[in-house]
Amino acid sequence: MPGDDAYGPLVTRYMRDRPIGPFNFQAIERRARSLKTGRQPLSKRTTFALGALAIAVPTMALGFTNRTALEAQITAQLSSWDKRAVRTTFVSAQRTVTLATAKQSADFHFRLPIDLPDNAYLERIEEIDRSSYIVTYRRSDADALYFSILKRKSGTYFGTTTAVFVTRGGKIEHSYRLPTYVWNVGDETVILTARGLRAKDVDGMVRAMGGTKPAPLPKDAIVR
Amino acid sequence: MGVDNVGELVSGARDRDPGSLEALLAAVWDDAFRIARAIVLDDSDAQDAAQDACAIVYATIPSLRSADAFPAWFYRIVVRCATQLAKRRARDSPGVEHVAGVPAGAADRIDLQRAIETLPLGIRIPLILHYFADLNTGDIANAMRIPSGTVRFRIMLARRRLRPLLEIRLPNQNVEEVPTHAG
Repeated sequence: MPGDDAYGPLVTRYMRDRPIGPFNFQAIERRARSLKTGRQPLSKRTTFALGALAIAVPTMALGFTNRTALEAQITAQLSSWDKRAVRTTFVSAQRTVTLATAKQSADFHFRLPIDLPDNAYLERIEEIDRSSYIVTYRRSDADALYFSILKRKSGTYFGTTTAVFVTRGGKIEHSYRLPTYVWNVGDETVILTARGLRAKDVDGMVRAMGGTKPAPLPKDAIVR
Repeated sequence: MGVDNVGELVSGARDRDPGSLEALLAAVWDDAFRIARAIVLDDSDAQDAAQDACAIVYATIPSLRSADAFPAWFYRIVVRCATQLAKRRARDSPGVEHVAGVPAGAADRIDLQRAIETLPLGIRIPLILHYFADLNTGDIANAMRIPSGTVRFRIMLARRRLRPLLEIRLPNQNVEEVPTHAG
């Protein structure tokens, strides 16, 4: 009678049915070392100094012309904040930028907007609320700002779910996604936002540009 | 664990003997990978989880009090690493399941794979630890941080789900009806 024992061969067969991945002792050693390193707590002062340095370097416009380096830098920065579960205030050259961090560790993958030119550099990262940030870039050869919205769900940041391109002077050069809403700030600045963007996201962008409360424009006035 | 001298290797590893540590991890690697894979259902994730588990063993084995406790301790670490990764993957890709590649072979292999991999994680883990890693319910309960009664109940649920496969394989035999026990 096949009783409890009958299931053992079944499970064992399933477990042994597939090939085993390669054993790599060096990789395990490396992981173990990083494990030890990661467990050493950093003081708040050190955390602040490292974070401030990381954000200040690109903020001072040293010119991240390499897209991959910029992505890696932002990813590393936000990931480290995430894992340390601290709330830290970073002071940029222009304004105070506050970033809240998640309590839980999360894999974080950040991608720049696909149309961000290589000569753009990170200007600032601004918190909208505890689940989203605005990342602002400025192009070194033009008076243009680029925004990307960073959202977090269940402790995981999703990359640029909505990217917005902003021009000054009323001329729209390009938009990352088909714009749905058009806002103006002052007389000349136009912001295009993609469908689904929350009102407070827009407010955050407007604030980041030094504008006032946006007023909607008729769609056919700007959209091309 | 399919190695006879695990006890000696554990003793050597606890004393930080590099040769023993490497030999021990090489000896348990297959089990670590298989269990991790049965949890995360993906080969590359299984590699990651198994390496994480081995790294934790590497770093913390001197704190292990007794060589006899190694198997349960080791499986607990593997389960924890793999479960964390599986949950993270599920969170990162909501609604997207890992679809395991189906090995070339007979239909019953596919049925077996499907039957086990569609078990909820909380049921699949005790099934594997009980029948593959040969852990008792107490050790499984310790590894999963759930009561022993719950472990027995979940194993019973897993057996109930796998019973049709056995009935196909052994049509003239009855599969034992296991009394239910909710913990």
